[in-house]
Amino acid sequence: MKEMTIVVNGECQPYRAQTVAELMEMQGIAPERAGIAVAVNGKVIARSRWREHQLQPDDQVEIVKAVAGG
Amino acid sequence: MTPSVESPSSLSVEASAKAAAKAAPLVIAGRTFRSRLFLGTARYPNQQVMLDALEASGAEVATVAIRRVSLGGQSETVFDLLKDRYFILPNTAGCYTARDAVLTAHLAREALGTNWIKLEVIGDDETLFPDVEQLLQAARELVEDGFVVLPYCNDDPVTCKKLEAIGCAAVMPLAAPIGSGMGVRNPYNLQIIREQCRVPVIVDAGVGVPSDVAVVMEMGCDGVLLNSAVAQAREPVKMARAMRLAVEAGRLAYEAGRMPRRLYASASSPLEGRIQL
Repeated sequence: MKEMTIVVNGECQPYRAQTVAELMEMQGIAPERAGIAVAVNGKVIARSRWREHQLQPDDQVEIVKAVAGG
Repeated sequence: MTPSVESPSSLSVEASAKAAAKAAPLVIAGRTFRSRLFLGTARYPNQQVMLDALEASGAEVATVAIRRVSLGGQSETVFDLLKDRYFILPNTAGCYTARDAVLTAHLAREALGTNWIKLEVIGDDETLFPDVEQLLQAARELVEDGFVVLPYCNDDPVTCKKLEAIGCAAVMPLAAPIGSGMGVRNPYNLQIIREQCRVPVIVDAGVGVPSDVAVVMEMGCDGVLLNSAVAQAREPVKMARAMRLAVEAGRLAYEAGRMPRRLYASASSPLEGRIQL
């Protein structure tokens, strides 16, 4: 059987049954930090739902912040 | 003794001169801004120079981009640095489709808690000219989603009118390609845009020196957004101040109204009472 994966910021990772907040903690990103947003499969997941939104196999996750820009 | 109404004190003369010499504030979507200069935060030699340049520019609006966090630990973000002192305007730089731009705007709104967006949808990676078709589509969706949309666009009056009709809060035509420092390539188009649009016109991209800024402000454009012209100057902090002065000078000159042009001389000093030998 093929291993289940998810893609986090373009990086393919083994899938674990976890919430958005748990994924962030695992990546070393404190979910309570200001200035961060998350999208799963092209849809923004509101900060208030990070602790309840369960990730699924093959999800495409984007975790972003503000950087210097013009 | 002469009544003070006929001979105002030097204090009230000073106050009235100050009031008369004050430029009108910029208002976008009902929000008043104290500065007509918007400054980008990228490409400075280092972070301290960026902060000093922002300070010297007098800008209230600072632009930022939205990018992936690096996995495995995080440092301070530009948002942490700026959020207490500036009105942060996120952009959708780097987006080539309406879909990417709309998602980026939504991520920016969630991350930074602002529904203002500098909408960029790029159509060509050498010139960074906008993709007008995708830009109009993204603008429509974002206005419908409740965003205050400030679109970076071509110096094309027709596109600007369409963006205004969609409900964009301002239009931001380019002076020249982003980061080119080429100055105002088509001043007459900008003038037509200023005359035909009722929303504020913020000239975005391509200016190189303060005289470029003064030119567009003198013709009545409402503000200027720049980044590289300051960040890539030999001394960015000095250039930031120079740009601030140019924005202020240009705006005041526009409000003051220029003198009419004449082909021939017209003496300033009176002709009567000259000595005769």
